[in-house]
Amino acid sequence: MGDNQEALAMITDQAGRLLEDAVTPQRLKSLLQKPGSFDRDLWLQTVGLGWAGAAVPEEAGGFGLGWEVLCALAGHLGAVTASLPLIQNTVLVDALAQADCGYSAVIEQLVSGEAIATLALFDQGDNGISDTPQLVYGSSGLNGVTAVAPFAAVAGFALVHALREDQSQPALLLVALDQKGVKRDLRNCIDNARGAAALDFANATATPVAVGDGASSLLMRVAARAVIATAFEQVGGAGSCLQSACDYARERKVFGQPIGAFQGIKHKLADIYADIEIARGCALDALAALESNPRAALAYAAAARVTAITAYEHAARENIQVHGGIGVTWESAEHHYYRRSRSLALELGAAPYWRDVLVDHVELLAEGY
Amino acid sequence: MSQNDTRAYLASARAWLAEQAPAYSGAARRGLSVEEDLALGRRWLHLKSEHGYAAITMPKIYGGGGGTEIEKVIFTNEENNYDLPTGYFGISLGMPVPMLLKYASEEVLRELVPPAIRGEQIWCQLFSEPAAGSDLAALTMRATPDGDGWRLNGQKLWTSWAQYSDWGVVVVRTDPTVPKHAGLTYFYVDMKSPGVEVRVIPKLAGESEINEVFFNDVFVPDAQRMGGVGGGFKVAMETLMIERYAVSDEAVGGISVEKFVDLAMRTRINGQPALADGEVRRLIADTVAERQGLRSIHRRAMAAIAAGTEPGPEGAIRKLLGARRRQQVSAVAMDLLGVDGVIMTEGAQPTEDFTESWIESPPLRIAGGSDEILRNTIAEKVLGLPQDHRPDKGIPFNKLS
Amino acid sequence: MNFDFSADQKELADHARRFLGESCTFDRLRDNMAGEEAYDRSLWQQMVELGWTAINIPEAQGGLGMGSLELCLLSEEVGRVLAPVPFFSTVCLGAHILNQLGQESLREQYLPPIAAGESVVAVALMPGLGQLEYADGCASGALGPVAWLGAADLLISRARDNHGTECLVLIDAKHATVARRNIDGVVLDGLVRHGQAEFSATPARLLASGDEARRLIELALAQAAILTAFEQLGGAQACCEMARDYSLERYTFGRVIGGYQAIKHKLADVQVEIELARSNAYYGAWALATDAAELARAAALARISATEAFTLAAEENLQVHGGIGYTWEANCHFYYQRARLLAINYGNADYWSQQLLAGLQAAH
Repeated sequence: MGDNQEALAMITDQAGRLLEDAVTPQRLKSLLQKPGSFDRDLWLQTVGLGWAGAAVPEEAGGFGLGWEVLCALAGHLGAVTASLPLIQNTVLVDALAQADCGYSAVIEQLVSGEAIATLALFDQGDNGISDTPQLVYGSSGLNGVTAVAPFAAVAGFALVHALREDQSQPALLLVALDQKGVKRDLRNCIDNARGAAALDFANATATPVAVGDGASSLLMRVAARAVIATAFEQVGGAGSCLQSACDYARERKVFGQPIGAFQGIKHKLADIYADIEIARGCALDALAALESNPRAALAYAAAARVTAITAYEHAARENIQVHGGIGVTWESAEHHYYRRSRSLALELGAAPYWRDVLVDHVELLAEGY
Repeated sequence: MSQNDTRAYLASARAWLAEQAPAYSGAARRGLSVEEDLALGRRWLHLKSEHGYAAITMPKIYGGGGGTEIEKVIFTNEENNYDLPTGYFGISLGMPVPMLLKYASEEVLRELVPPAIRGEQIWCQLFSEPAAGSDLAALTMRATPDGDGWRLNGQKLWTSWAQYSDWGVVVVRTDPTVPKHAGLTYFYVDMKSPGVEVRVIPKLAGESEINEVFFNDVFVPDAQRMGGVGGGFKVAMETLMIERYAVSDEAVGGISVEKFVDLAMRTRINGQPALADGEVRRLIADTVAERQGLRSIHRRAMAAIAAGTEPGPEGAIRKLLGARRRQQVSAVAMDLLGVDGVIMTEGAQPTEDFTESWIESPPLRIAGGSDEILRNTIAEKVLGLPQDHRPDKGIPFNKLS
Repeated sequence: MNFDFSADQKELADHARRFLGESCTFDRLRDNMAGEEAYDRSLWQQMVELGWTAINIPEAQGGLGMGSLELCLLSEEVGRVLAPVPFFSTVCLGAHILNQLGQESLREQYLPPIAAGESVVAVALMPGLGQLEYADGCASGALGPVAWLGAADLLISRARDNHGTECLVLIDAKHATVARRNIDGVVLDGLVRHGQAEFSATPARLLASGDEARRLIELALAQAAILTAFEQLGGAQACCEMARDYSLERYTFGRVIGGYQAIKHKLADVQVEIELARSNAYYGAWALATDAAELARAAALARISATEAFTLAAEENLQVHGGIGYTWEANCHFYYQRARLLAINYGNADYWSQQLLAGLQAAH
């Protein structure tokens, strides 16, 4: 086992224990009740353990454990429906590092966890990544309103997709959110624990990170990486749903038998298991492709995305069904997963969009093994 | 009832609703608290009772309509076109009160039925328990003899509208030494009796009608027993069968497929119109075809009721398919709405808002017969397949593990 | 619309079910597949004697003068037993199209032999099955695969004239200028023999052209959709019954398999699809019989539901039978193949979804 592997094992092991203790159902319920909620205590605690910089390369000030550690941590977060901006911070650092230098101060804040990132890449009404952003960046700064984005309520920096007026080209912009031209619009959402907000820009100051074709390719890099790490979060959540459903099926009795002895339940659980394993397989392959086959990473990401959405939604929905009446009460934790599954299914673009992306790039997945 | 009579009844019901319903529905309900809405519902029921449209099949002497089953179905169908505050009374007038008509004395009926029909009092049904839902006969709440009555101890769960109820019907275990179906007895009980405690159970989303009800040494006179001692399971089953055909709206309380088509017309997937997407088209086609089939099943059930015969068990199909379809269509609609599909709009109704329709759909697949129980019903009643394996059969209740 | 079949019609269906149940057995299907004859001539002859080929032909042309409702019920029964006869193409489509023609002379000439069972008709209406060019009383080109083309006496086909106008032509399929052959083993359902043919200046009667041809084709496609839906319904019902019967006699772990929820719920789902398909097929029957304005919509709905139901029923029937289900000896494969054939014949589910959606959009 190399140093990295040891460090990876240590940090994920520690994550499992920490989250299990820290993330209680009561804490989650209180977050769900208020728009734009964020578990800052947990964030500070994990920042102290170095999670924000765990995946970031050493030359950028991180621990250099790679995307693997981000995905592992995302899986742990997903399993307990904790919401922390690990993916957002890591992906933004990666995007800034791709661009020319000059962002070292921002990178430093993101790696240390002092600042939070949000990826506000969608316009209102978008269900996928658009070639024609509605936000405008021109001589008077950045103007327009984004769709709700996770952690926008608490973030210090946003990555935003906008039209650069003078060049009539799309651009990716870095926006420091603590400025006069930025309003955070908190909306009541199905999953308020995501710290979500829509960002309303009025002559806001922003810095172009990439423009034109460079912006498009960087945007897809950002999307692919965020999607892959999120797929692990989704698989983690789905796995918890399956476990909870199985536990309940073993313990709950009707007609003199545990309900898990009835094939109606037993086979339902087996089908969920199959969906999760497919999603896990796609997520692992997509993670590997970041290193081994970057040209095809977007196609792998799309496959990971659509299978993760299917698996998590299937597991969350049927977990409630297996629990019966108890599953639809506010007190049960099953709806945390139901909410999170749908929220994650929309946040980075919905399944119809990603299926389309998958089909557009299907030839990249043609070669076996 | 002849076709002409049916048509005439439909025409007058429709005209009456068109005149009266708007003041009690839609905009009239917007922004009301639950208490205000319930009060509006009581007024609506009272108005209906004055015109023979409340408890249509119950005798006029108690304030009912004195009408036929088909008149009830026709009226309910039309009434469903308005968004009226009728939900609070569905169980009350649907199950406990009709059971009272079967089992209670004339004196009791004259006292208790009219206020229920006028909406002044509400009845609930205390059946399920923490360890007894689909398997009702597994219930553990006890009743022990005490003088000229019984003492009730234990807990009921999922009791709809208990928080507003004046009376309830309850099934309890009076003899744990016999097999589980044999030891149950059925009573009606004053919900204001000392020792009754009702706690609302918040749902995962939306206003909650469900409660847990605790009985702590609650006294019930033996005169309030319905059916024999040990005959409670039979009476409970009669209660559940009493509603021969539940009339629900086509989208089972969710949003219509036409609104989904509208949405698909104004949204895009990866730059292309969503309505041109094969998957979206297939979903619409399947949904519409399914609804059309359900419409026809509904019409045949109506015809059977009009002819005075029992509608077939295919009525179970509506809920089985409708609930799953609502969940599926609403989720795809949120996909089309995109990233902002997660936003919950204040005061939005599931009939108008896809996000609301989605988040409130899980209970529909569970309450009133879960998907799994409905499939069992179809397999056993229609196809003649055997019951599930029941290791608890014939074993005294207190000997079960 | 509150539709049901009349007592007389139901009696006809009952009779048909008894007759076909006794005469059209699985052994007979196997014999037919192994034999040389394109279709089961003796079964066909019995159907002729029962008047089935005359059912929708007016009395003036030697028919029984009944309507499409009787055809719906007979189609369901034919579908239930997979009768290997050209009933659909000859009676449901051939006689139907000829009935619609304005020219009495054509009806006088061609309908009586169909009623008498002396004329078998093949019909080619869907695009993509070859192309006929029509000019000056002659047709040329190639068609196929078309059901029963190798055995038919008459062919009714779509064609184009030399101006490119759509038309409908009638051809003597046995004419010397028609080079035709059966294509056994190529089409997946061996009980519906398909044929191919080349036509070189074959004499052809022009039945209609332009708008009139399009109207007739559209009507015939709606008729085809609804009657196919009934055929599918019959097949689906047969599958469900077969699976149920098997699940009640087959034991595993000491109990009949029908007692396990995996089987119970599977069959409940099949039954649900059948109920929906039946409802939509009846809606189609009503639209067909009353020539309702919503015929196109009803046809699409009937077809979408029936395809769903038969596909599911045939697949799950095979699955319920387990290992025996995919042997030649078990009879599940007959339905499995027919379900797929009917799913793609005369428009697949995507085609009918498009039709339905086009209607919904137009309504906006």
